[in-house]
Amino acid sequence: MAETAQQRFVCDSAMDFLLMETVSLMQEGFDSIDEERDAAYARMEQLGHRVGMGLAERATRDRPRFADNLEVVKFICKDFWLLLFNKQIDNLKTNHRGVYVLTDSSFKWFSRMSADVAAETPQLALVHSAFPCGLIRGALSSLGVSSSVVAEVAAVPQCTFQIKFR
Amino acid sequence: MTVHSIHIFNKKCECIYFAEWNAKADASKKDKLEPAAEEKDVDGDPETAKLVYGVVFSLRNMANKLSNQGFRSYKPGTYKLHYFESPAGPKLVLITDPNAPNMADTLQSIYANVYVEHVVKNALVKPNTPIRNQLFRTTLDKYVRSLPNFE
Repeated sequence: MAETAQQRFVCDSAMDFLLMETVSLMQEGFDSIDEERDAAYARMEQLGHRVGMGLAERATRDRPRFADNLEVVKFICKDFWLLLFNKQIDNLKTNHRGVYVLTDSSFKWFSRMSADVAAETPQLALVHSAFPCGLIRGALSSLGVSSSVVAEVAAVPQCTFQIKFR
Repeated sequence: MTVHSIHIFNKKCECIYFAEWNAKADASKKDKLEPAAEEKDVDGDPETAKLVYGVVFSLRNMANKLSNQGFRSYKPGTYKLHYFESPAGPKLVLITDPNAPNMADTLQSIYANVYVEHVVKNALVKPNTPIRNQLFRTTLDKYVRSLPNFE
């Protein structure tokens, strides 16, 4: 992606810390743990949606239109992920009927996560996967595709995103 | 050279982490050879921690008044205590046998490579609480065991 000489940089760590804190912030104000988690998830996903839309528009500024859904998903796996995390999605699977599974084997935002009891980490990491889900959904929707995105965390730092086209 | 133990204190003077290697021969209390997962007292003996903190605090103030450099280590007959204070907050105290060389670099790299990576950057950890996460514990353990003269 061509950038002008006036590109401005943001510190990577600052961005990571901001997102970490946003997740905790979103969990405030609710009484039960389940409510907290659901509400935080929904809010973060909405946030991600908006950010993803803008980011995708910016990233595809100079590109021609995409031929089909597969091209769009490949764009997400390669260029979009490269823009966000400096790496590509490691594995893409599809059933050719509108369901795609993207696997990132060392998801950047999960790479330093660890809970007190190692087994609980995937569960706690799920809330942090809301924002990336929203990012993907937002990017897809700004490229003209309506979808739903769900994340699964089997073991940190690996993360799997499942895209279902509607 | 062996490393005996490490304490980490946060800015509120609480001991947020304690680990021990090679339990000393004259240890009369429980035999904690390795930071095991099921220990209920993962922060070690709170009294010892307070004593250590007190010693370190007094020595640090005294050294600051006497010289520009600040307190780094002291050595009575049977052990050597190394101290590292990061500008941001936590203080690391390392206790080794008396023949240890200057461990300031080691402590600095423990702070930068282990503490910052696995505690500060960990989304699931609230700051200033006792550190109990597995990744930090295993990384620290591996790091200390990989030191050149560790036995």
